[in-house]
Amino acid sequence: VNEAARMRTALLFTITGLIVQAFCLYDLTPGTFLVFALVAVPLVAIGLLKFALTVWRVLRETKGL
Amino acid sequence: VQILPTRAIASRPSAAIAMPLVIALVAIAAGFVLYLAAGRLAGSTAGRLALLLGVLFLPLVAVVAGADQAYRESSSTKFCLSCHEMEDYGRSLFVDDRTVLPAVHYQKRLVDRDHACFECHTNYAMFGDLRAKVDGLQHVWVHYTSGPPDSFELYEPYPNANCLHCHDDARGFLEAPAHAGQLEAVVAGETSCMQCHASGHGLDVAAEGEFWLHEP
Repeated sequence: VNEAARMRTALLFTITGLIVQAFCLYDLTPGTFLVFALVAVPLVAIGLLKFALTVWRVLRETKGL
Repeated sequence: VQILPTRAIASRPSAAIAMPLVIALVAIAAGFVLYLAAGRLAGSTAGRLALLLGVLFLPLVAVVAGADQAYRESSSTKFCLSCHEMEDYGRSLFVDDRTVLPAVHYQKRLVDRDHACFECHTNYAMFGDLRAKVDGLQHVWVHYTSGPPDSFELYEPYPNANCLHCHDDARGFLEAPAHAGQLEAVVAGETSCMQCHASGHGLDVAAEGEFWLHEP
């Protein structure tokens, strides 16, 4: 259950980042470029990092490493 | 009439945006499905593989594709001139004056018209493009936080290397009588190209409204 919850948190960050990215790319202006670089990319990066940490934690708990 | 040249550039269709946007939308849709099914998927090997694909690889591809598109589009003349601070500089591309360097380069197609600003304002060195992008981000940040300065200046004197990147072995450059005896000093950076070609963007000429208006 914890694993799924962590996955959902990671997904929330990733989806939010991708939605922001989609809006920015639809009409790329200097303003949306800034939002893309400072909001969208970091949100997705946090999501990916959380997912990777979750996988690493699961592998460690199950002695899969 | 004075605003017309800038509009001519701004009205051009932007580069294809479809693919990165489609990838992002697919990644979002997959993300929603995985969010709802995360509880069940986390319990099986196949489910974990699906999560790996949907949470890690697909978003990664979407972000890389998006960053690539943003990188390319932010190098376009249209993008640069979408800031109103750059309108005068955009007009200077159409100035009817042979001493104004940006106008000569643009009108004679010495630079790619769709990337006219970027071709002269990026350093042709390792990470030069990246540095130009970071500087650009800083400019937009300043625009929204403290507002633009009254006048704009380059961070450093315009490097000869940027000119020589194209003109280096060009016959017109090598054989120009005015360049005779100057080439070694120019290549060595001891004499700046701007010492003689000092007109810059010719904003004063642009303000007078003498334009070459061939653009449709």
